[in-house]
Amino acid sequence: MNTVTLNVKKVPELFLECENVNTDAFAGKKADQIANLGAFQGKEISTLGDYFSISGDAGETAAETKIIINGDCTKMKYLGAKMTAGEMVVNSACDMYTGSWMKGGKLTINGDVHSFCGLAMAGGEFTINGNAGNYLGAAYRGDWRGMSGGVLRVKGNAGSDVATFMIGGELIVEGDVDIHLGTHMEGGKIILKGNANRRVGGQLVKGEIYVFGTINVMMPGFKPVNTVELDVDGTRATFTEYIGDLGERHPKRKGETVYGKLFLKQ
Amino acid sequence: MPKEVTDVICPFCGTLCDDLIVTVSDDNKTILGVKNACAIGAEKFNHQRMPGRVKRPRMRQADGSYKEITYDEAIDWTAKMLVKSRKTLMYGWASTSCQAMSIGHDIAEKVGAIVDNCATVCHGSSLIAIEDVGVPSCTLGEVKNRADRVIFWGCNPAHAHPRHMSRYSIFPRGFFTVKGHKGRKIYCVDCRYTDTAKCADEFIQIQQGFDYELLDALRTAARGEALPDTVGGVPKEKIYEIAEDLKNARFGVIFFGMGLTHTMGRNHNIDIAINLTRDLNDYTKFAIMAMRGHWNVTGSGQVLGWQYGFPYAVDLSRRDQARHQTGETTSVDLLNRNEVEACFYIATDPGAHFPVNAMISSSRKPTVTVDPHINCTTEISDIHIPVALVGVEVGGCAYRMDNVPIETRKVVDPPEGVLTDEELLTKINQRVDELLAQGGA
Amino acid sequence: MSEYIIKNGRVFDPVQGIKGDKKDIFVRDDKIVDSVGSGAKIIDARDKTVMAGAIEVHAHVAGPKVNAGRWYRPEDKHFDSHKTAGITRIEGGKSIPTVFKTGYEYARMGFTFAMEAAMPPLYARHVHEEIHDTPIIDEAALPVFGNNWFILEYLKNQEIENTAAYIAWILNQTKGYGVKVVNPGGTEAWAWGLNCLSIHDPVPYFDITPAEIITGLMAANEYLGLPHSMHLHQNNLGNPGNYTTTLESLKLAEGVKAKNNFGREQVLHSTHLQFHSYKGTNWGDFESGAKEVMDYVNRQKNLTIDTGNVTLDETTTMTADGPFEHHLHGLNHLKWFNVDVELETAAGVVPFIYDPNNAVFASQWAVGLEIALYANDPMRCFITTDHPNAGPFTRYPRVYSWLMSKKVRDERLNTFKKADKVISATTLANSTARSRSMSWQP
Repeated sequence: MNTVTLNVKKVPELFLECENVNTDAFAGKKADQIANLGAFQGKEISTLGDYFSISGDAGETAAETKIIINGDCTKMKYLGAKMTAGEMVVNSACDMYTGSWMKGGKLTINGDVHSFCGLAMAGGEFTINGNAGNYLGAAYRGDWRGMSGGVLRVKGNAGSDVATFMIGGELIVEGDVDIHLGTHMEGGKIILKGNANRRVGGQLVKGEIYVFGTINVMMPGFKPVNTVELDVDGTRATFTEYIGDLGERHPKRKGETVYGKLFLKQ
Repeated sequence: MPKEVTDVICPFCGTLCDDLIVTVSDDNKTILGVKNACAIGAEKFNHQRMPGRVKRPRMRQADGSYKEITYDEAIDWTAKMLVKSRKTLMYGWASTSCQAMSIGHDIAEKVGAIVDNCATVCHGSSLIAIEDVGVPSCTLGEVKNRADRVIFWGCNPAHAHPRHMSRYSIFPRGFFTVKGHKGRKIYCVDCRYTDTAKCADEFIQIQQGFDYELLDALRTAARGEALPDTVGGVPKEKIYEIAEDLKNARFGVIFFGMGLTHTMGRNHNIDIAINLTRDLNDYTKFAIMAMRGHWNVTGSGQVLGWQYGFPYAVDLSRRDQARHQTGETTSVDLLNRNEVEACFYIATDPGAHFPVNAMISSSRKPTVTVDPHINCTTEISDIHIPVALVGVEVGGCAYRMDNVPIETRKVVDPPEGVLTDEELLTKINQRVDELLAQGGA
Repeated sequence: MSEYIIKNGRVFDPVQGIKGDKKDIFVRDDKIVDSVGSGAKIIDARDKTVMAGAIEVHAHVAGPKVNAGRWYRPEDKHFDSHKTAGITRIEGGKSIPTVFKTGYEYARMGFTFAMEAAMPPLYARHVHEEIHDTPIIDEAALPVFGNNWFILEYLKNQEIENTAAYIAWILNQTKGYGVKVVNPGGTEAWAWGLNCLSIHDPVPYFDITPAEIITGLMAANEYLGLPHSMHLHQNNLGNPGNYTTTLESLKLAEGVKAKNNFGREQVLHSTHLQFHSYKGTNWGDFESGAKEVMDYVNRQKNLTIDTGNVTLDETTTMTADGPFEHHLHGLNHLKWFNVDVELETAAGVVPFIYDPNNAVFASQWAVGLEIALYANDPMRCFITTDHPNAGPFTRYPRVYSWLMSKKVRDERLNTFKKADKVISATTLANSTARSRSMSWQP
């Protein structure tokens, strides 16, 4: 695996759209070619070389490429977006769309991320060693196909609208979340280690939500059906199992209605 | 002899009343009276003859005072600002015609701007909800002719859309609703006892911020599932009773306003209300409609829709693609995050409606405001360009809250030498072309 | 006077039997002439096809429901918004392109005209605003009449002259080009949440049946002597077994004579016939009814049709058949947009994914091709995708290649996951035909 190191040498004034900072865009390129890739600040088109000092050549493919970014990336959007393979580590807080539409590989952010991160993620491993903003692992506007695969882990807290329209994959928040966790969820698994504000699982169709902490107010469409002891993300605990959202339409499998499930630690 | 202009379209709210009668002086210059309009609508016409109206562009001086400049100077300054800025916010559009918007979008595409309208601080959340789950809706005439259950949820037309209730939703007698108000059951769901609630047969007082839960409970009740004892302060017996009554409607409609769009959860309050409406269509006919406020904001969404495919907050800053993401390309977020370098406001007053921090951010950037009146925004602008009042001094197409397009009427001439939005934007567009041909500002 | 020469192109003209010959075309003042002066502007068309501008007879390209489809599907153009060199405006949208992309894409395929297939009179201004903003191509629109209260009332009283007068007034007011009928009576019933699935179902309150509406509007159309025949979207669209409804509707035209000064012989145009040619009683025993329907169409000289070819894409369905869209939403549960228009019509919009791995959708693909392949008279059969309902119009090149080449068609057919089921439900695999409407091509 070849490593490309990017050190921020200029912090953008407004913001910077870094859709070319990912293993796929770098694959097969030498450091000077990488420096010539486009970076965008509104209608101003510049190059990655204007903002980063770049050392190391990329591997032939994304899978053979590792990217390390140091310096202040708080105004940089789309870092690691759409990556399909390889590895990327950002030692900074990042702006919007970090790791969004990610299909594979490993992305680690050593800092906080803003909204729309891991949007419609389809595969890979995305770890945020900090807090996340709103719409983490959610769907793009209007799409009914949100996060569909991979593992997204946040060590800190996350904002509102986490995992909206989720259809697959696994999303773990080790801290707390704000309102609307797993709204319109139709598949996949959410594990919340901390507390949730209100409206967990609103309009939940299918899928599983595990909550270790508390839920501020339960949605009226959830009904307790069982007490179960489970191993969840390496921790064994006793949960109350709810089905819901009973206000929502649910599919039928072999004559039986399939409900979404919410497990709340007792 | 003063003359009467009939079938005039009101230029105030999204109801676009089309039955106003305006009396005009025989020289076509002064409005003498307005009939059929509500108090707010009439005032829009009265503004036309207000003393002290600004008739030429003004530029702010170093000492904060304003100096009159020519239209040409203002156009040149504006075009240079647009061409230079790396990302510009072009916000407003709700009080102008669709024709003017179209020219504005052409400019935005060339200079790399964001086009946003006042849905961004109003029914933008409704638009996101519709993007997510669709919407079963209808025109206002359907409500008048058929509706026997009408729900006002988090809206107060008695104050915000004063003639809505008499023209469409509560009182009128329609083709299949010959009994008028008596044949309709009116619900009002609100956390306060509003003047609209006074007109309702049933007022449901809901605990603030529990709209999502109550709507979920209504959906759950409609499916015959179990409920907790109370939801949002409403006892479950009442919820079952309402759900049953709605299922028994012949034609029902839900009107909603800022009580859903601007309380906790925002778009989700609306998407669950839409889903309730959808569920009720399994039993009977039900529709839902946003009480769009600002006059032609609906038209702005339509024009942006057919030109770029997004209803508001359209980011053209890259000049080769259109993008849209509420929370990123929306005006307040752009200003709060300092992502834009210049501001161009037209036909709406963000100064009166945006959060203070956003306007503080805006006030630090080169700003041009195009508006017939002096308002909160003109006072923090470098340049204020006055224009003719659309729907009063110039016609043009506007869209009603139910998306019905209506050609508005000119009733009087604009003051001598004052440009219309279309004329002004055409000239700015030409100046932008010249500057771009010269390779920038 | 403006003159130009289109030089060195390969010219096609089915009427004159010119099949790709290298020819120069002379044009003076927008007319083709035998020769022009030496100062004529020369357009080099080397390696290009020169043909009369193609015409789209039925597509949803402008108006309220099209635009609803555009703006409520941001995901349809996210990552698909771009500007091409030489093009002045941004283009966006896969299944429902923006007005700019609509104009550019049709022009790229050699089209110069598209007919918007359903204009609610109340929203006519919106339709025309979009037409105004659509570059390069011409567009016109057909106002909808099949559920209009005035029409229903006049026809109930058998007042053809009043019906015709009202049609004339609407066409003038809305700048419409013909009489469109969508799910006659059924859409009015939808205002109460109901539908008319057969042509004999009574329309609630109005005491009239779809059959009477179709017959009456055909009569009024001929009374006026309009350049176009009535354009019909039949009842019971998209349901297994609906081919009987289709045949019954088409039979209403038997004995009706065209009366006009335009040389038009047809009195009824039946649109997106693919959606109306299904046998069977449910989606399990669903079969193609294309042969039965086309045998009838081939015999009846006063009918024209268009195909409505399914292209097997993710698309957006939209129609003034409000109850059908509600039904469709019940099948796929994707976001449902509906708007009931007072006194006139109702429209619905639902995204739809024609998954080629699904036997029903793959069979629909086959039915659409069968319709065109069974057509004996190419001049009475138009190729459409009922854009964007069965697929976006940008897929026309694919549809043409499926029709023109059995090899290409069979390749597609045999790669379906449930090819056996498609082959047994349709007759496409047995067909060695090449569409006659294409047969003049090399």
